Amino acid sequence: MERENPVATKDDVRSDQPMVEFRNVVKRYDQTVLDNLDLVVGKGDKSVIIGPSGSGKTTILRILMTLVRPEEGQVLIDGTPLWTMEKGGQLVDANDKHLREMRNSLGMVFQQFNLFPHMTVLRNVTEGLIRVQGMSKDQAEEEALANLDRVGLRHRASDHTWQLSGGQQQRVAIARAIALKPRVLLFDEVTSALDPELVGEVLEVIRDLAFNTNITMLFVTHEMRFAREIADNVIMFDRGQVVEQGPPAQIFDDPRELRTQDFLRKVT
Amino acid sequence: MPTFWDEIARPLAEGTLMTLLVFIGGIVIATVLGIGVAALRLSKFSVLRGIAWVHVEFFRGVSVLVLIFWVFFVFPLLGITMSPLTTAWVVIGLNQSAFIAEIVRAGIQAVPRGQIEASIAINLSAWDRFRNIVFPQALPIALPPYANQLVNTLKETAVVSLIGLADLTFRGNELRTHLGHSMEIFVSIGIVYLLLAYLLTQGTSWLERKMRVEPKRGTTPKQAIRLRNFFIGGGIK
Amino acid sequence: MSWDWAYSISIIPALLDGLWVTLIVTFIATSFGLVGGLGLGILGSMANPVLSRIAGAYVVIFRNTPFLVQLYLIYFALPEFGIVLSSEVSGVLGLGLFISAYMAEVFRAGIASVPSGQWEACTAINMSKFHTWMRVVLPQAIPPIIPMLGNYANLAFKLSAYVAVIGTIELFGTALRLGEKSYRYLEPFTLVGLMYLAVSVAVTVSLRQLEKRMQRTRPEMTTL
Ligand SMILES: Nc1ncnc2c1ncn2[C@@H]1O[C@H](COP(=O)(O)OP(=O)(O)OP(=O)(O)O)[C@@H](O)[C@H]1O
Ligand SMILES: [Mg+2]
Repeated sequence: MERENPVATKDDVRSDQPMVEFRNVVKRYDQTVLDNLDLVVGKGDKSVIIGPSGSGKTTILRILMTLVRPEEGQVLIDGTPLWTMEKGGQLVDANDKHLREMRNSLGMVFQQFNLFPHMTVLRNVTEGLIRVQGMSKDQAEEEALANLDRVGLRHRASDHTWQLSGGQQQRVAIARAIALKPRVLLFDEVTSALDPELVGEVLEVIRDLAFNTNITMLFVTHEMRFAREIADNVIMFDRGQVVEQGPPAQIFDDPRELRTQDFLRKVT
Repeated sequence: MPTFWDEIARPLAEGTLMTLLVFIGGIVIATVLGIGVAALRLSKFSVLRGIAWVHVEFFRGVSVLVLIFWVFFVFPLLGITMSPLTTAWVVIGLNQSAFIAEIVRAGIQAVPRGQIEASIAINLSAWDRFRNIVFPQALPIALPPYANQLVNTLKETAVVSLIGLADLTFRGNELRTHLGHSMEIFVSIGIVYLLLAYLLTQGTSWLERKMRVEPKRGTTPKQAIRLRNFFIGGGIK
Repeated sequence: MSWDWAYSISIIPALLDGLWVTLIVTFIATSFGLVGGLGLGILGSMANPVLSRIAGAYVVIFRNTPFLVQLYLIYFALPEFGIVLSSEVSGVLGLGLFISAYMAEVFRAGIASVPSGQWEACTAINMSKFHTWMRVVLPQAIPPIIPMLGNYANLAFKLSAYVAVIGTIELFGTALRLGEKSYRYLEPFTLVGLMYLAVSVAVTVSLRQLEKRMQRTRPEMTTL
């Protein structure tokens, strides 16, 4: 059964309209991790979040992927509230049904790949197509193979995931995510668990997606050169808030804020 | 001189069958119930978690011997009549379900969190997440302690001899009063239990090997790929 | 049949006496199990294949046969060889032998978890074997396994009810006697069940508390 997508069409055209919006979002663990965060990502934009370790970058992505619930504020996906919904004219906490509808437009690639070890490469990709999008097995396999082809791993479709190198596993994880045609795709330090010689092949795949699709992408990365190359928008994030944001040239070459300057000096 | 078969082997064989009957019924109940209780134990509703907790602590805490006597003697007084076999199944099933619930819970919790997160990210429903992602990975983790519990259950069935079910232990005791020779009889019985336990252990470790998704230690993934490519070639079928 | 409060209260002193006997049985059997288990665990960790096989065989046999059968063997079969033990002694001995098989495995695992570098370091400073065991290996092997040992002490407590079957009048035996005498089973069995439960749950909960304190970091709870 195909679930209806509440958030308009799947193929977004690049525009200045916001795709992702954080309004006064607060998330606390032991300390406050997101402190009244305001953040806007435009439709089709490729945004890169940079900032010190432990500052809450992953938390931003996890809130978007509905893995953790924020305590306060609003998160909007193409104008639709993610964590709240309307019920009898009132705003209430999102229920499971609402979250599942919203997740139809979201996808995520994880630092540790998180492939399903008990499934073949192909099954990893078809699982969502069959169970979530209700495709037939044949249709799903065809679709999955096309996506594996895009990441250059069609020939490994029948392998087990543990037979692949880390770089290949991460490429499968990307295929698994894009097969479901998300409108917003989240990447959390997707190359930092890889051996240095395997980073290139994964970045190559991401480059292709960044330049040739209209998917809105939000990256957390420590690969500054890569960020400069693909980002439309770089967001410097620290202590629960956006320090400054702008095109890569401006942030990297001419940062206005002292904290950005400090941070860049440390990482480069 | 009584024949060996009629006097000794036959009663012991019959006793073994009864032991197996009690064991199988008990373990089926315990497994089904145990999985259910484990699911409650991991529920997001604290009331359900509480109920499961009480179940586990109660049945782990109370001695089976006491429980079976309680059910056997007290239930009839409350107007509930059950045959000794049913009593045995219910008591062993309930008692072991507590242990199995803990094994299943531990197996489920051992599945890395990232697996659940990835299945949320591809938008699987809660039920599909459990059925297709968590459960198949928890199974091989839970199998070795489960195998251990099978043996414990088998041993525990001896308690039913005390409510008059003619299992292996009961038959042994009967032979002792008729024939004497306690040493031979109880050693033989011990050997039968050992053999049954051995079969259970072998059976489950065979299953475990079949279920293992990752290569055996010693074969690195790279070697496995090379071997595989050598024999079948890459590509999909 | 309904609950008789007067009768319940009248049997409580007898049951408490029984509970005391049960605790004594458990205590002696557990001490026996600790000593035997430690001995077997050390034997099982030895490089000598004969000794470690013997320890292994003991563990396999005692862990894979019913406790009741072991009790019968001691109580009914040993007299055929001139070894006549009272029911109490048979019960405590049987329980101790059974529990030591479980504890042996725990000790063996604890010993195996001491890094081999510790042994090598002791050799390097020319420490005697005895001192290596007493001063270096066991002090590292034992603390982490204390909760597991506690669990088996708890198992000994629950299993001690079986010694009533060969005639020891401990807690469960007292309930049986009372039932036979008065034809009332509801009160004695229920009260006894509650007493076992209370002790066992109290022990389990405090062991878990201990375990929690021992391991500092715990993973977050997973819900489905
Ligand atoms: N589940 C949790 N429980 C408690 N604290 C948490 C939890 N998850 C994150 N935190 C804390 O929140 C803060 C932000 O974590 P987060 O993972 O978002 O940082 P990050 O910017 O992604 O860091 P890194 O660059 O190291 O990945 C950290 O201090 C972390 O310890
Ligand atoms: Mg992070």
